[in-house]
Amino acid sequence: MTKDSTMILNVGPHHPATHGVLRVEVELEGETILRAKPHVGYLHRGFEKLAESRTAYQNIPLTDRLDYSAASLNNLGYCLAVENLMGIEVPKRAQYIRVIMGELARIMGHQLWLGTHALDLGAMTPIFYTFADRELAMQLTEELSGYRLTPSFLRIGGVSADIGAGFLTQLREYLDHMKKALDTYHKLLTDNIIWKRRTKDVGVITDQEALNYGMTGPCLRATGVAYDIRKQEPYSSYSDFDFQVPVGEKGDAYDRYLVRMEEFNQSLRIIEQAMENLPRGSIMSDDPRISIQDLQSVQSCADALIRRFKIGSNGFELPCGEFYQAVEGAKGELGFYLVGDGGTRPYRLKMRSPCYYLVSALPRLLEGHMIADAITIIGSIDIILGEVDR
Amino acid sequence: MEREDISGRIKKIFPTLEIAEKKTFGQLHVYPDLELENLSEFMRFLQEDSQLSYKILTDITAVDLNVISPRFELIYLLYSVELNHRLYVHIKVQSNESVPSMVDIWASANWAEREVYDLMGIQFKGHPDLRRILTWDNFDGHPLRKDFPLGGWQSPDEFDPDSVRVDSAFSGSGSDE
Repeated sequence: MTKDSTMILNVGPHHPATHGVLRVEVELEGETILRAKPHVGYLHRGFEKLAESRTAYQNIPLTDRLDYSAASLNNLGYCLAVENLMGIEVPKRAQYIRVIMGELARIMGHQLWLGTHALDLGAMTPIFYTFADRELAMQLTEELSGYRLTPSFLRIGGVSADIGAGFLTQLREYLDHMKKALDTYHKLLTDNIIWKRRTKDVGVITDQEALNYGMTGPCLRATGVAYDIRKQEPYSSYSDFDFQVPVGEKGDAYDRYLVRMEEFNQSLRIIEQAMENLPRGSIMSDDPRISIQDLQSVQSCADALIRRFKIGSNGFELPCGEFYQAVEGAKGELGFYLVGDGGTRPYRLKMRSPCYYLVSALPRLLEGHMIADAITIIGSIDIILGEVDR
Repeated sequence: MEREDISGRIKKIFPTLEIAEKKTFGQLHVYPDLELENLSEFMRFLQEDSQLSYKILTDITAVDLNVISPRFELIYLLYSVELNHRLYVHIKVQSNESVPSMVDIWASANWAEREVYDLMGIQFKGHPDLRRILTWDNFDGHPLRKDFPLGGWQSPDEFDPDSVRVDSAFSGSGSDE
């Protein structure tokens, strides 16, 4: 129940600063937020239900549409869940290509965040820089997969295309460009007095509270907890790479900004190492359960042809059992809890979305702040509603 | 603390409790055979114990076993930063039972339980704000149950967008203020 002296204001669902279709009901006294209640679900497309009626392969494009700003990372989480449930070994070269695509996606996701977050706070310039640079990464993605935003590039057991010398040259140019671009981003904002005043000591959360709210990713690391799944439970050869996990101290919006800015650097480092040490070999697992790679045998042998057709049309069986695969998405811990029952469709696929829990912490983060700071906080936790609502 | 000792530690504190264990693909699933009233005590121990300290409730999810009784399996996904260990706690729930809420132990249980309630239709008692979250307030049915058809109960032609109701979170359930 509300008091007479207060006002209820709906922020969203069509407010540009909510980055999608988030609606936050806030109770205001003057300009101070007394209570806030987020409403989500405006973008709910029932992916978990839909996944139960589609084969393991057909679900890959669904995962693209979770966090559409960093789609390859979602593919990675889902494909790993299926592969681990089935016990499929992915060739080393494919793992490295996945890492390259994943880190490119992370950079794209962070660029989207940086541009829009600054725009929300009245800084018009950064978005032109970040979007121009993001376009370069999108062109690289398109070069490899044919798609810009939702590449569906990964396959169960590997990746869909090999990378050649031409792509590596372009990637090298991109890396050189990004290193300079990062300096520009820092010059625009890091020491900017207005930026600091708007973000420092805004939306502070302690490490214990952040853990309690299930916050992960850069938001948790900004409080000082060095929890990064790439380090804690390395998957897809992440243990081969030398990179650091940046952490903050205070857990305010400025620390979250700094952590993500440093993640740009680390992602570039990872891509560089993956490029240099790219192993030779196959890009798809030759496990007979998921595909028949040997086209020679498909053309000459009826059994192989039938088998290949059957896998393509009807899918392959997921074994009985359950597996939870967590990966470090651009926003935090992205998890897929996959339950198989021996059929070709997943019995249950739960998508654990990092943004969902970040939004759930909004009431705590917004309380007591001014309404203008609400925009800072919503921007700083970096949410993509496609992932919140699934 | 060694990872192998985790179930030993749990058994030491709850000696009478029967806990089935399954280790698949290196992941530790536990199936404590307890009354639902005692669930809070068990979970609080996992969170507060200085040796285990599962400080993150990553997620709560449920599986509809449909024809098998008890019908639902609730799975609590816990993570301990100190041990770098994940624990999966499975609880069997009948379709008419309501499960004690874990909101007092982990704040993340708030939205996790709302989602399970919304999509799977499991009730949680003691939850401060158990409203639907991903669907609208007067939505009919629970989509992730196996007997819910993929296309929903209503055909798209019959659907009236004006019938959708989303109540203010401040006014309590059911009122239109």
